[in-house]
Amino acid sequence: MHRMSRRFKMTFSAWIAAERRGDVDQAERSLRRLFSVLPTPAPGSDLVMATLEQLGVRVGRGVRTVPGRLFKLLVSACLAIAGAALLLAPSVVGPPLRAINPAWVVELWTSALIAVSQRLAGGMAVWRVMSDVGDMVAAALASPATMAALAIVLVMSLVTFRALMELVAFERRTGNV
Amino acid sequence: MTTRDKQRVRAALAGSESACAEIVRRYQRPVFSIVVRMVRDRGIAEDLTQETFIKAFRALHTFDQEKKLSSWLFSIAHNTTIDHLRRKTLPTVPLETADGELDPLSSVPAAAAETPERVAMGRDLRRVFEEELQCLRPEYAEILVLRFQENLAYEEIAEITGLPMGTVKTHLFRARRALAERLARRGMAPGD
Repeated sequence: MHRMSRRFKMTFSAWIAAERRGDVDQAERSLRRLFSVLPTPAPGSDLVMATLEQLGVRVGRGVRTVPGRLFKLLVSACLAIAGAALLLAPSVVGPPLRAINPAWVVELWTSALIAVSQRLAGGMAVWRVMSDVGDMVAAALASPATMAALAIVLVMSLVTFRALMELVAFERRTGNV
Repeated sequence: MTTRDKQRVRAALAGSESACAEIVRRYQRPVFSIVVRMVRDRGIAEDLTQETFIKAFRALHTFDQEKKLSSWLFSIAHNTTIDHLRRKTLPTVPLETADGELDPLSSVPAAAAETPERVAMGRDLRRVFEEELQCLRPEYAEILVLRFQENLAYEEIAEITGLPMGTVKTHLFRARRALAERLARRGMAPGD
């Protein structure tokens, strides 16, 4: 510190002497050296964050807390259980899948179009199709296992939806959204 | 402009928050050091520094990326501080004698022998130097900092302050002499 003060003093003397002589180049060199050892005034440590906040920039945030992770885990688990419930209820999925025949679908659609375009009475064919579909669904729903599986899926969907709403609200409160 | 600054600016324009933070962190100290020496108040200087960066980011899309980012920021800081000073009257200390002439430095006595008091004065010299720097007229303090702390060329200083080159050189000359004169009056010149 003492050496730095002495060096500062010497440079300062050189500057004053150069000013006296009218030696502009030497004066500027000495003054530049003086400024290089002057401590640069620094703003408070919170200036960066305060400025970024004013700009609406969030930096350094987004740290996931435990509740956030837990919510996401719950959501993932609910979705997995919902998927498993569907897989474990083949009686719901099976009949509709077996009944669907691509050729039959195309024929139905063509017939319906022709019938509608020719006369309004063609709506009877559509009615027959809807009736067949309804019969198939009713037969599937008649099974207790199917009802139970559907109920489980419904409950899981509600739980998942609720968890998602909580997660969004939590993220909003912590300022991540 | 340096390659890194160009990358930061492009990233900031693309919406990168970390790039914005990097720009503020990189230039907050130089901008603050200019402003605080002009307004002589830390609190006000911090507010003006913050205002400078806010203005800069809001106008970043108008920035010519072929120019230096630092000069552009200093220019905004200069205008912001000058606007503040125009709204507020700072106490000024006359730098010139009654007849308008600066006292010649030749009036300072010749060098004397080293004494314990003079050794202690060496430690105080930096403090006094900084004090007297902040007592100069704001435009003089600014021009000294831009030239000797930030090592800017005359052309860059002229662009930042909006002054003609000749005026920049004149101000610089007068600022140097005024600072030396003030220090001489405080008894800090060699031989005091």
